[in-house]
Amino acid sequence: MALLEVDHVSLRFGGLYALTEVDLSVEDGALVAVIGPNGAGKTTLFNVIAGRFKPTAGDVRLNGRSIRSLGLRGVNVLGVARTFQIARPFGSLSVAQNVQAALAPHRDAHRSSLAPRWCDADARRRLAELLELTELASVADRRSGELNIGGLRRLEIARALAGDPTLLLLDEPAAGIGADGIRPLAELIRAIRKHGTTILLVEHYVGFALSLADKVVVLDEGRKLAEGDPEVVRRDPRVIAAYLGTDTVEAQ
Amino acid sequence: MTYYEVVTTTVTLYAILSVSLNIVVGYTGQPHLGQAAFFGLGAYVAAALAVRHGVSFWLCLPASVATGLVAGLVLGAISLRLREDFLAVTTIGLNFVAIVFFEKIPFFGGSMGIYAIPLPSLAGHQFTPLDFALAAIALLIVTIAISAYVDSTWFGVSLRAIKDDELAAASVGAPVARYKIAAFALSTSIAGLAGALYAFFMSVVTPDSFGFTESVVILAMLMLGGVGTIRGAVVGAAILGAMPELFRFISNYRLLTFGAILVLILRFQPQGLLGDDSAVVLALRQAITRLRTTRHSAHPDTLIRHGPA
Repeated sequence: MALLEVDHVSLRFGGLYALTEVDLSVEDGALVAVIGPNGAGKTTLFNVIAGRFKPTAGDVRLNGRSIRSLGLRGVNVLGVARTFQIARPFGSLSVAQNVQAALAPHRDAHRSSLAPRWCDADARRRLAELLELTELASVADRRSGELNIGGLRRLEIARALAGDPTLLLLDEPAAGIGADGIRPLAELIRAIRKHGTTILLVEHYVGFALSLADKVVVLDEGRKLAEGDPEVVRRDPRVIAAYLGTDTVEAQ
Repeated sequence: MTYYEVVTTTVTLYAILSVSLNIVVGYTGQPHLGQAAFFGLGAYVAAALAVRHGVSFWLCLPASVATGLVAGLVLGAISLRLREDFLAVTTIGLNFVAIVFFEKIPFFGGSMGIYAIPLPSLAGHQFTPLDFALAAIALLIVTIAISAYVDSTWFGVSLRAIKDDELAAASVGAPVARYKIAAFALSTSIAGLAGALYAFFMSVVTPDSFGFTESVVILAMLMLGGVGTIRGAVVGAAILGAMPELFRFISNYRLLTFGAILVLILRFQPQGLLGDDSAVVLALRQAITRLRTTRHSAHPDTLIRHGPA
């Protein structure tokens, strides 16, 4: 059984079909990329999986259990964490406090949320690990609102990893970080995967997505256009017509 | 000198209310223009219990806390259903509902209020104005301690996350609804307790002491000092609370003066005098950074934004 199953999911806003019968499965330990042109419904699909939107039809299952109507918190505590395409830091908090806010709901159940943050050695260690992994340790005490886009992307990932999720949803992690940032980001994503975290990646930069993924799903206008091995998808004429034909040069 | 003790008690009660309001407005980011209603509820419950049922001061205190707590839980639950602007309007409405409540319910004594509230005593000694001042200061210290403690907890960092971005907070697993209700309940419990002390201090409670105007004054104190900080809440209450006493002529134009100060603050220093990004605090922080960087060699940070946002 797949870790995540998106089963015939449709989402309609009034007369607009944002998603139409999308099927998708993510095996445990896999890295699946969802690509597609702007407005294809990639982020909307994430919002459905993460519990922000309840699908109009269809089901979303995690380990066989339906999560379609659990809401953001409900889905997160079951082990699905996400990043945002447009970073949403807790801007008045420091980088470390941002990660603490994400750690807070995931500490052991027997530890009180009314305990002071400094007296939890496990959480302190975990915080240090996360800041180390995402290379944010040097700016831990800076206010997150001061971070540039590269810093914000890392903070998004650090926060998402705080609960040690089984499934990580990365929403366009490469957007806006420039050519210099791509390679370290790819290394970070590989490191997260090596740790055993399953990853579903939405990406606009096709080359970046194809280089990381073992399966690619192509969305266009809210429908699944193609699915499969990155190399096969790259050559699929429908995909080229819809998307790659105009974009490959820019992406590589 | 009774005068100073009375002023101290009054200003300190304002500081308690402003620090407690900060838990909802400053930490959790919820608009709340009705803190005086909870202050009044605590005062009325204490007054009614003391006068009508002969309950002692010391038992009235927990009763007022409990009343504030229950009322805060209800307001918190209501707040979940309302968007920010509607919540602001709802909390404004609370002030008027509370006054009607105090005036129309016989238990609360009608428009005459409740008077002849007996002086509290401790081990046979009746409270003097100095004792009230000391009790108020003690309560302020407890309120500050609770407030600072909450800010240092896991609950506290979640509240601030909710303030900054509710959706992102829910996405990292924060129990947004439960925590908002808890913040309201904690804040209004403290206001209820302050109300009990106020009732015994004044020895009389009347409906018009707890109106919308008082709620605005409390919020103005917080905004003047700096929303989100305890120091701001205390300093704002001290300034606006003492001002009518220091400058007699102001007391006739109290609201006009407060309104003018609020407009100036929002225009020129929206973080408040001592808020986190206020001129005073920024200057202090820069001075500290300068001291540090002369000791450690600074290295340019590649993760920090340079230039305007």
